[in-house]
Amino acid sequence: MTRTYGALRAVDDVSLTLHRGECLGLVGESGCGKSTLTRALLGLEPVQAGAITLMGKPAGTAMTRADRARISVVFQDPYGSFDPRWTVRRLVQEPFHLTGRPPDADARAAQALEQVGLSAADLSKYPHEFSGGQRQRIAIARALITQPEVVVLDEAVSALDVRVRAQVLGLLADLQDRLGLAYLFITHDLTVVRAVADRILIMRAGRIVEQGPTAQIFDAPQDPYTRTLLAAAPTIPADWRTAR
Amino acid sequence: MRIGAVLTAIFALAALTSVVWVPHDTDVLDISQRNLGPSVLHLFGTDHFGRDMLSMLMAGARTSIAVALVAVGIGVGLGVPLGLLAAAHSGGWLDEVIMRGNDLIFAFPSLVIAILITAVFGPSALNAILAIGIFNIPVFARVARGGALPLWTLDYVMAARVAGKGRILISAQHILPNIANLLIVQATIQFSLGILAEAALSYIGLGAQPPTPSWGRMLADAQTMIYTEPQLALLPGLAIVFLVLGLNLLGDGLRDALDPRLRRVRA
Repeated sequence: MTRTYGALRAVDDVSLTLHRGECLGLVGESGCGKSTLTRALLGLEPVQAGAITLMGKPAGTAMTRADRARISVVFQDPYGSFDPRWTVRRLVQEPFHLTGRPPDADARAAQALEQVGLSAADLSKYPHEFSGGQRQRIAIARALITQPEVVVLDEAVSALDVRVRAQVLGLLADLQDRLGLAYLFITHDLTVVRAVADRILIMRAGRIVEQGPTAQIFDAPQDPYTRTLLAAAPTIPADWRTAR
Repeated sequence: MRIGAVLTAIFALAALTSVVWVPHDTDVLDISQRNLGPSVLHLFGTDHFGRDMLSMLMAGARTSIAVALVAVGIGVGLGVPLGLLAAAHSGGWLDEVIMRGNDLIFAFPSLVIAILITAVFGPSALNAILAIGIFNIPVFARVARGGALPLWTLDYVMAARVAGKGRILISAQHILPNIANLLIVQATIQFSLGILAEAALSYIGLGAQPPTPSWGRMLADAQTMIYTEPQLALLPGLAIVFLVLGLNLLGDGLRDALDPRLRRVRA
């Protein structure tokens, strides 16, 4: 797939496959084309060359409403992700716009909140009543409400402090096990995907420079850029990961 | 803000009351009772035709407020949707067309064009409303677009797009409620400008026509007697000043109260 902005080629001949139930890490620094790729995958922007397919059907901007409900997203900013004037009930149910509002919408919203470790009582609260970590849980609940198969995590834990980040990562891994979700985990931070990703792609200046199973990337990085990223990464104490 | 709210409320109440009741009928002239000083019967005295000044001021408040209110309504009703539409298609041809159209209207001196409109189509309250209202449209379009543009970059708008919502639905559900405070403040300011414009138009005889009482015309009628009966000019003048002052104070207060950044500074 390719996407250019004027003379700049933001995403250049990138090809990736996300398998069912897999967690694929996409790592690259700011401006490498991750966001453009995300918007294309979500069908918000067209691609100039190449194709996106979802379960064998054409995807991207060609997705039907029902197809769009099968792919969802969690954004980075726990503050900008929610309309401050909407209640959590309304926010979490917003993706129902794609599917039509089911009769048990409220029950499903409550269930989605409980899935992410919040309670049904939080439905009538407003986003400002929650901490950053709790907001990301609400964002995950919103992403899960239409029971998608693919969730794009666009820097979903990057704005969280290290301890909360570990908790949300634990929740994501847990949800993946239970619901059989496929994650496209987009981040600039290699250490974040180490614990959750099955495979990792390293992206730089719109191109994939290296890809392989997580262990291989960490133990035997081939590309000099990957080695730079690894050398720059801090480490998370092991006992923080399990904390809830 | 409290002073502004009280001043505005007094005039609004006077205008509302005048719809059903005024102390004396403003259509009845009684030359024998002209230019009386304040008394129990005529609280603010009478004018050169013997009409009760309090009744005239109350009915004048109704004229001014009605004209300004409808003019602001035209501005909000047309300007806000245009501004939202421009912001939703930011950078596109629709944005260009709407905003250049705005610039075009801004390029004309508003009061002169208002005079032209009322002079061409005949002086009346309705034409005054239209003339003032047209110049409110670009003001609200700009405020709406300016408030909406930064919101379009936020993730919650992206989330709404991922949820399959179109630009118009997002504008209505997410953008408009979040710029409502900007619009309320602007509406208060435009309202006070509308009062002034209406007074100016009726002062030169292009606003509401006799016998409908109007502050601007009361001023115009009184100016030949400014040395002998100064209260006839002073009272409608003060009414205009206090209502506009009240609205401006209210607008400033609302802006401070509705702007979360200023609220934090005060707390």
